[in-house]
Amino acid sequence: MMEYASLLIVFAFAAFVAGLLIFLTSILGPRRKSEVKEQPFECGFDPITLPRGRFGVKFYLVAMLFIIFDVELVFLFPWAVVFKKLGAMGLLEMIAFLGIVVVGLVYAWKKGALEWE
Amino acid sequence: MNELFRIILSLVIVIGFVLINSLVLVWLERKVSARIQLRRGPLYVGWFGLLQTFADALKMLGKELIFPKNCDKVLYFLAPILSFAPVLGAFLVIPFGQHLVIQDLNIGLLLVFAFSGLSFIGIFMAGWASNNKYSLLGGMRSVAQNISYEIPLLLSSLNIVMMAKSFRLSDIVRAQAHVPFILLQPLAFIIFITSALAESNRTPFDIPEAESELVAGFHTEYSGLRFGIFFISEYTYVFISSCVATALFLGGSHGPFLSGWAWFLMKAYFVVFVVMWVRWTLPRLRSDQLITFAWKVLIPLSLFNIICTALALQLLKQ
Amino acid sequence: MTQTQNDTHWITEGLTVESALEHVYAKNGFHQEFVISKDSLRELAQRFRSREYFLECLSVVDYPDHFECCYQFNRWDKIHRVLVKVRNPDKTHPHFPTLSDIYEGANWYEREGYDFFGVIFDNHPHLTRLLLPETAKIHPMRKDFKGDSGTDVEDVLALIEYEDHQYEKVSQELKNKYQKDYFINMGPQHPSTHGVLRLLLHLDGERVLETYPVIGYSHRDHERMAEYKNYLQFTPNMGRMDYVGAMSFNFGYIGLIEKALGMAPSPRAEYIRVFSTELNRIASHLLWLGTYLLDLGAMTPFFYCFDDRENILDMLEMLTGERLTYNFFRFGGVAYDVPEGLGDQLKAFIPKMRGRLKDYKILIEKNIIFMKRTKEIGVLTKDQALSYGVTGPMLRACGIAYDIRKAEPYSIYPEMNFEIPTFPGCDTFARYQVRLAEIEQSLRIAEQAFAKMPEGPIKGEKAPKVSPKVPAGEFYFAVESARGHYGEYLVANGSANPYRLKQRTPSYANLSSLSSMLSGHLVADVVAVLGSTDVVMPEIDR
Repeated sequence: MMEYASLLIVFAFAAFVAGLLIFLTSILGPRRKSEVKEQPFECGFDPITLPRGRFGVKFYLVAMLFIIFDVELVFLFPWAVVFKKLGAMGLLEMIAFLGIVVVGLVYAWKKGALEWE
Repeated sequence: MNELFRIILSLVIVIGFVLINSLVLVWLERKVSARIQLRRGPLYVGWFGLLQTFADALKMLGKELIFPKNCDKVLYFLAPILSFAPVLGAFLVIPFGQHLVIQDLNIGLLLVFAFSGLSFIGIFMAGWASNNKYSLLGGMRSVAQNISYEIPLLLSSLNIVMMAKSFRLSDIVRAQAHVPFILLQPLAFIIFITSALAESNRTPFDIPEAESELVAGFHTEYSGLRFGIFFISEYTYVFISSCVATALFLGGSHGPFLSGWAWFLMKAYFVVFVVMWVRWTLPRLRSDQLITFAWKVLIPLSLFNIICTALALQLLKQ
Repeated sequence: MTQTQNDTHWITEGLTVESALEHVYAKNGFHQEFVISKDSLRELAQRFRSREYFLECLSVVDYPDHFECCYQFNRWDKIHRVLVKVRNPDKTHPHFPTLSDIYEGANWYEREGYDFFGVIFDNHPHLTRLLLPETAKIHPMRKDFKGDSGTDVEDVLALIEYEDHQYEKVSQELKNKYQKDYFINMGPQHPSTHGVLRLLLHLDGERVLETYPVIGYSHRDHERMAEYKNYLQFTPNMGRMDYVGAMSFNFGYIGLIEKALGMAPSPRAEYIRVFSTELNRIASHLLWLGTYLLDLGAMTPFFYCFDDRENILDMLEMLTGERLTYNFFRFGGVAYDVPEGLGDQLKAFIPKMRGRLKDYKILIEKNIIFMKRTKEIGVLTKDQALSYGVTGPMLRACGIAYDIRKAEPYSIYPEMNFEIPTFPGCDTFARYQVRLAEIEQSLRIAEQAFAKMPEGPIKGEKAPKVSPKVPAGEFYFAVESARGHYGEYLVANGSANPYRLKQRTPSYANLSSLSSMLSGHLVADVVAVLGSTDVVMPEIDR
C-alpha cells in the first residue's frame, strides 16, 4: 500500500514545486496591468469571433476511435504477462481477438473515419 | 516512517535533478542545433555557455505573469502544474541502476504510460483556458495527436512485456542481461521511438505548438515561469521517454566496465541526442498526415508485430 | 506593324473606337493602342480573355479634364501588348464598368483604383479600400490631393484615429455577422506571413473555407512620391519596394527612363547590370528557399541558405556598397565599376554554389515529409493563372515558359545562353522546382556576363549629368524580377517629374490568386501555399 501512497506524495510534491515556482515569479515579476496586454493574441487584432465556438468534428472522431482501441488494449496487458503459461490455446484466442480489433480498424478506415476530407 | 522519509528525500533529489537536467538539456539542444546549423550556440556565459540557460531561467523568474482577458482563470492557473506533476511522477519507477529506483512497482511500465498520458491534459487545458484561437487549435491538435500515438506506444512496448513476462521495469532490464531487446525487436523500437517523439510534441510532430502556423500553439498566452514550466515538462518528458526506451530496448544499466547508472545515463542521453538530431533535420508533418500516419501505418504495424512476437515465442518454447 | 494590324482586327470589330494607334514597340513598349467607349470595354475584355490574353496592368490616370483607365492586355506566347483606354470626364466619382468577373486579377486593380482615385467600378463584387484603411476619406493619387501640406490634413489625421475609435464599431459589426463560424486572423503579427500581410481565415475545424487577404500595412504610396520627385530623386525608392530583389527593380526603373530618353547605357555597364541582377535573383531565391522550409517546420535549411546568401551579399556589397536596398543603377550606366577581387570571389562562388544546390536537391527532394507537404497542395491551374495575371516562377510552375528575359528581351539577355525552366505540376512543389532550377540558370547567366564583360567606361556617352527631362509620351518597360513581371507605366508630360508612374509589381497579382489556391486546405497548408507564392509585402503595398 505504501508503494502507491508514494504516488500521491509525488503528485502533491510536484504540484507544490510548480506552484512555488509560479508563486516566486508572481512576487519577483512586475505587475503592470493594461487593457492591451490582457488581450488574447490574435496577430494584433481584436478576436472577431469567440474561440470556443463551433469546432470541427474530426477531432472528436479520433477521440472516439481512441477510446475503443484503448479499451481493447487493456485486454492485452494481462495476456502479455501470462502469455507463456497460457500455451497455444491462449495464443489462438488472442489472435482471434486481435483479428476482431483489426476488422474494427479496417471498418473505420473504409468508412473514412481516418480521412480528413 | 523511515520509508516516507526515504521517498521524500529521493523526491527532493529528483526535483533538483529534473530542474537542472532540463536546463542542461536546453543547453545541449542549443549546442546540438548550433552544430547542425553552422553556428556556435551559447558561448560566453559560463564554460561553453553552460550557464546561459541558468541565466535565462533566472530572467524568466522576473517576468510578469498575465491572465488574458476572459480566460478561465482556474484552468489557466492549473494547466502548467498539471502538465508538470505527472512527468515528475514518472521518475518514481525508472531503474537508473541495479538498485537505484525509488519505487520498484510491479506495474512500473504502465505507470509511466499513465503519467505521460496525463500530461497532455495539462496542454489541452492550457489551450482551452487561454481564450485564444491559436491556443485552442494547438490544444485540440495535441489531444488528437497524443491519443493517436498512445496506442502504438503501448502496443510496441507490449512486445517487450511479452518477452520479459513482467511490467516491472527492473525485471525488464534484468531480462536484457545478455541481449538488449533492440536486437530482437527492431521494429518495436522504431515504432516506440516514433510514438514517443509524437507524445513529447517535438518536430516532426510538433503540431500543437507549430510555430509557423499557430504562433506558439497552446502556450501562446503563457508568460514567465508559467511558460517555463511547460518548457521544463517538455524536456523532462523527452528525458523520461529516453529513459524508458533505454530500459525497454537498450539494456538499461547493463554494460561492461562502468557502473550501472553511468551506462544508463549515457544510453539515455544518447537517445536524447538522437531525438534532437531528428528535430533539427526534419520538417513538420501536417496535422491530418500525422494522425493518419498513426492509424494507418503504426497501429497495423504494431499489431502485426505483436502477433509475430507471440508466434515466435510460442514456437521457441516448443 | 501592318501585319499585326491584319491579325488583330478582331479586337475592335463592331465596337465603337474613338481612336486607334499603332505604336513602335521598340520606342515605348506598346504595340497597339485603342481608345474606346465605356460600353464596349466589357465586350473587348471578353474577346481578349477568349484569346488567352492576360490583363497585365490597370492604371488609372487623373488628367485635368477626365479620368482615364488604361488596361494593358498581353500574351504569354507571343508578346502583343495592347493598351486600351477608357475615358470618363466626370471629375467627382467617375463610373467605369468592372472587369472583375472576366479577369479575377482585375478585382484588386479596381479596388486600388477606387482607393487611390475614387473611381467607381460598377457591379464590382467588393469595392472597398485596398491599401488604405477601410475608413479613409482621401483619394491620395488625385492631382487635387494636397496631403499634409494642404487642406486634407484633417482627413489624413482621421486615418490615424481610425485605430482608436472606429475599430470597436467595425469589430462589433463583424462579431454579429460571424457569430457562428470560426474566423481566425493570421497576421500581420505572425511568424510566417512574410511581413505584414493579414489573412482572415474562415475555418471549419482546421479546414479553410475561405481566405480574405488584407494588405496595405506597409503602404507608402511610392507612386505619389514619384510625382513629387524628379526622375533622379526617385531612384532610391526602387530598393524600398522589393527589398529582397532590389536589383531587378533598379533595372526596371532605369531601363524605363532610358527607353523614354531613347539612349543606351555603355556596354560595360550592361554586363555589370546583368550579372549583379542575376546574383541578386539567386540571393532572393535562396532567401525564399530558407524561409519556405522554415514555414514547413524545418529550421536548419534556413541557416544553410543564409550562409550561401551571405556570400552573394558580400560580393554585391563590394560592388555597390549596399547589402539589401540597392541603389546602384544610374541613367546610362551604373554607379561604380567592378572592384578588384570581385572576379575571384565570383569564380570561387559559382562552382561552390552548384555543389550546394545538388546537396539541397537531395536533402529536400528525398525527404518524404517535404514531398507530402508540397505535392498537390495549392494548385493553380493555367486558366486561373491567366485570369489573375500571375507571372514569374508561379506561372512557370504551371508549365508556361513566360519569362520577360526571353519573351521581350532587354539589355544583353539575347546574348546570354540560358533556359527558362518550367514544370507542369501547378502545385507548390513545382514552384519549388522552378526556383531551384532558376538559381542554376542565373548562375549560368552571371558566369557568362562576367566573362564576356568588355573594358570601357561604366557610363554611356549621353548619360545625363543631372536629372533628365523625359519627353512627353507614354512608356512601358518590363523586366523579369525574382518574383515575376515587373513593369512600369510612365505618363510623362515633358517636365522634370513624372505625371503618373504606375508600378505593376509581380507579387500583387500573385498574391491576389491566394484565396483560390487555398480553399479546402488545412491551416497548416496556408503557410505552405503562402510561402510558395514568395510575396514581398512592401512591393505589394508600395
